[in-house]
Amino acid sequence: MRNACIAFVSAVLLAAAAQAAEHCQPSDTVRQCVHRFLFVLPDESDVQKTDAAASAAKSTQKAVSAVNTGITNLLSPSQTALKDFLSLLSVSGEKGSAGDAGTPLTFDYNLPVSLFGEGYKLKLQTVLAKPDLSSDLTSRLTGNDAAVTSLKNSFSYSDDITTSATLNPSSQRFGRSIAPHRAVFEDMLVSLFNTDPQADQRAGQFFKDAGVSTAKNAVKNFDSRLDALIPDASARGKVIADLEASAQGAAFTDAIAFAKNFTALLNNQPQLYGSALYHSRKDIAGANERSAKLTYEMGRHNLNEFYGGAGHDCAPGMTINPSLCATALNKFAQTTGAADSTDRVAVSVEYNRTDPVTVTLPQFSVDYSLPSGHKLVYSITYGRTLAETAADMMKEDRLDVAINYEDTKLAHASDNVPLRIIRPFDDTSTATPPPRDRFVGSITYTHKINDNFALPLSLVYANHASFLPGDVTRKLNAHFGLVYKLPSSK
Amino acid sequence: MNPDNFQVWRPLDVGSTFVMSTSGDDNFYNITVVVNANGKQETIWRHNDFMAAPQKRTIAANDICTFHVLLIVTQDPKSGPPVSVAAHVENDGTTDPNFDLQWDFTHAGQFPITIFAQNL
Repeated sequence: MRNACIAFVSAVLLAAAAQAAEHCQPSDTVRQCVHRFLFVLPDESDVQKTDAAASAAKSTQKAVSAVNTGITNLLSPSQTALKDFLSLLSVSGEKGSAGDAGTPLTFDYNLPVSLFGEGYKLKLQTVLAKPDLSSDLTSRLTGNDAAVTSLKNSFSYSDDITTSATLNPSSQRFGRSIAPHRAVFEDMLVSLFNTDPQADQRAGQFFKDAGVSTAKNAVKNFDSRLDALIPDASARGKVIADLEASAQGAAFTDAIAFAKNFTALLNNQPQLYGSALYHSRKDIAGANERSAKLTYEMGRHNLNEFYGGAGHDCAPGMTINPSLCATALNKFAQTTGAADSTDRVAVSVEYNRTDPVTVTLPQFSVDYSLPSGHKLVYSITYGRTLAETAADMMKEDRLDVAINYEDTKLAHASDNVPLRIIRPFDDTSTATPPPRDRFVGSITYTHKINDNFALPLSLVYANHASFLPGDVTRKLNAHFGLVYKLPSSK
Repeated sequence: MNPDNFQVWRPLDVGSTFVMSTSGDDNFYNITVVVNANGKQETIWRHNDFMAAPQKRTIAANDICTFHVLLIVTQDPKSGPPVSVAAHVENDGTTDPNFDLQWDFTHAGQFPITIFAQNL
């Protein structure tokens, strides 16, 4: 932490010193002169994201946006403590829960919900999929491939529908939205603006005198050398001084440094979100399910901590001294190393219930019932990136530790007519009632390759080996995967 | 690829209008614009001003206006369209194709843009 602070302060001082020493040269074009101070925007088509402010200040701080969130699939044993609420599209190497029979169709809606107050966001999601036959039915159709094929072919996208609603409150205390903090943020930001209107005026006069224009189809003299536009050295010196002063104000150096600190604290804010899910399936695919889950996620060194301590007079709703508050926030962020404080703890509780279902297929001699079942899952996850301690190539890697405890009453299918009447089936796979509890612990190391690819490696321990994901027989297992996040499109 | 974030739009007709707007998920970005004109700071357009309507400045004779934009994007806008800043000049309600640009941002960061818009 101390080393990170020293590195950050050093980088800022070096950047400031470098900028102070920066000067336009007579051989510079107008464009080159301006961009000695006003950094060129990063190429948005570049898959390796460049933090724009880092380009300007040559700071060592990292962009919060490219946070390696690890695996965000709730069904995976390789959980992370940071839920990327915006990553609606992701593809991982793990088998999808909707089965292999067809590619699921997903529809997402993000709705502002005024019912719960301003800033609450409701995400609705519907997934349509062609399901697989339930394992209970498949076991009863062993050897009857024609029946299996016939039933599988009868499925359509309306036979497996999952609907979920997730509420993510966004307030001063919860959520990573800037909206609840906007007023104080802008007041502090604006107090750091140092544009130079008079230098702008003189620069504008120079553009007129030298005929500089960036009109789309008639760019003029923007890429002409200053010594060619202003042959007289004395006059050129004055123009260069004006261009430099104007461009230094345009660079917003102090405001950008503050905004980076504020963003780091904002993205460490706790999140509280709840979700409800209903999974409707055709009876031969399985029972209908409903579940509810509540999650609280917290991080260190955030705006709540600032408002509660050094920034107690700077919170939203207060009459603040913007300049003093900005200074206090910068100091708080730097001394706490907020940008590198990526530790997050997530605590959740989930209730899941399956409905009873009866499957009667006289043409295939199948008639069985599955009573209702339920499951309570308690989970705690801790995660952090290795920014402070790791080598450069590992600084964006994550380490996540997750513990799940499940109190389960699983349903067990039973035939409705005596076995002597229907064709008996091999029920050894379901004859043993499953345990009522399940403990699963996992440690996941996720190596970030780039913004889109990550390699997670997990060690998973379960007290009941048969309940580890996949067909395994040991209590301790290793998982290796590949996560791909779809790039955003314009 | 985004246009250069330093623009010199001139010469603009007297009575033409500089128009700036922004779009994206309001929860994860903030825009502020310092408007300097003829040697003085004229105003600051704040984020909520843009949420109400595009901001406009009519160009008068001999005007030299500078629009210093500072866009802060706090999270990658993955779930929808990018955060965008658009600026153009209108003459009698018609957009001048020579002065019509848009900047799109698909990643978090801090992005300054400066536009000189002047009659001279």
